Amino acid sequence: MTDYGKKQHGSVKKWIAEQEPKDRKFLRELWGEGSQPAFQQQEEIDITDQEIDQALSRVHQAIEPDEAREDNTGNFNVFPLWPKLAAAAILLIILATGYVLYPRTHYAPYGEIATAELPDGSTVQLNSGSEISYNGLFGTTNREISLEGEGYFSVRTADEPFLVEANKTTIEVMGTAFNARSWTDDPSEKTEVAVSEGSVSFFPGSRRELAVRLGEGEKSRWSSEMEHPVPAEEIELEKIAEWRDKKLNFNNQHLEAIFKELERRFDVQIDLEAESMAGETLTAYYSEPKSAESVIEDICRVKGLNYAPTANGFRVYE
Amino acid sequence: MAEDIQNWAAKIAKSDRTAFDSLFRKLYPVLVNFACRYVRQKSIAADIVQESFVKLWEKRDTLNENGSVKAYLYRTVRNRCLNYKRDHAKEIVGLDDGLPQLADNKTESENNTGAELNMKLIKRWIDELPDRQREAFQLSRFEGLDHEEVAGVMEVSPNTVNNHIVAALDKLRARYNNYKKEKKEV
Repeated sequence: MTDYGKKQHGSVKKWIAEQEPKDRKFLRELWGEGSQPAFQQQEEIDITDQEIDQALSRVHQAIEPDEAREDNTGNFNVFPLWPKLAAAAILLIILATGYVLYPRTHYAPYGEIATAELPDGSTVQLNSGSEISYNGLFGTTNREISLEGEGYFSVRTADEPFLVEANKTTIEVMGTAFNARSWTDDPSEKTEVAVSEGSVSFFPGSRRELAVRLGEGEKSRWSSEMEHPVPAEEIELEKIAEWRDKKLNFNNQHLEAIFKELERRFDVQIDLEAESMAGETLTAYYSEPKSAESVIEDICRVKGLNYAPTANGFRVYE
Repeated sequence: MAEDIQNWAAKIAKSDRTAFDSLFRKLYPVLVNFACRYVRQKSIAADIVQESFVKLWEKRDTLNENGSVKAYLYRTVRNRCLNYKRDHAKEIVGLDDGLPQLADNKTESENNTGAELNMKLIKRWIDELPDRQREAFQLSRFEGLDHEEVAGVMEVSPNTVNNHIVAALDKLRARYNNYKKEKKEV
């Protein structure tokens, strides 16, 4: 910093040195004598990742209003001949494939964590309230599976790619272990993926050209208003799928989403009767949450809310 | 970080959307905070910053390699904030949108005279500086811009920026000496 000439600079330094020790730090920062610019990152207003995503999507729309609409005018070949024959053939195909395509599902009830073994030898640990489903050909001609909720996947290596479809996104896997979190009742419709072994490719819908490649210790996320998933970010391995050890980790999450998580984890019903608070966010970590009540109590204290027990859970009010 | 930003700027000039998105994610929060100091409303600050990024994209081919894209954004945001304030001079009455109330509450108890020297107190001294001095000082110390960049934002010469900052420091020094005297008397 060169606010003063050299001579004056010396006298400022001397003056600061004469002041009380506890004040010196502030004075050095003010006068640019500190090791780095003073007060940087002194942000008074918190901006969540979600707010940034939404703002960016608004900017995208302003930049290219035409590109926002997908071009859906591909050529579709209507079969004009022998409609009856065609209908019969289609019916036959439906009957024949109905059995194999009938979805198999695994579900973890509220309050529990479940492990599902898949026909190809892969396993999925399911967080409370989560569900996976796949068809009868899984493990033979395809390895496609759909996820609602949160699961930790350990995937067997095989030639057939392992595809997880979650809330309008796809995760393509070779042989690896990763966590996917994708609740359709999350207000932001967010899907998050974090990889603890190997690598995956993560993209919206079937738009592989927008894929983000995630390696060990990397994560990404996508929500409906975004064009492509955010570039890979680092995540500590032990932070991945902490729910498997019954930990709770809320990183700048909406209260609404936090209460949903508590509902699933502890199998209780939580009524948030403070609508103005639904958009509030909170960061909190519990290594051993004792009960839903202990967590709700903390949240209410921090956010200035009240709570009371109900027949099957709690109500939270202002 | 500075290299990152200049790197992105070069790519943005070549219409690289990924670089644009990265720059946005990096600077959006700080710029909203910056704009809030002028317009005092988060939603308006957010709009202004978003418009400024749209403008940056539209003008990307004129981004020159040496000029700071950071200074460009701060300048655009600042000009738009000043325009907004001019056009809405009578409407701005106070805090809205849940602006820094939280921060205020936290330090309320330390806000009395005779309290320890702290950020809150220093920020109040800074708020009371003359406009131009305060702006130059905040851009330099809060936003971490160098004098060249501050000059680009405020559209004055680096020399003038330096004068503003030195004048601001002199005033702050006087405030501090005053504060120490008062404290002794308490």
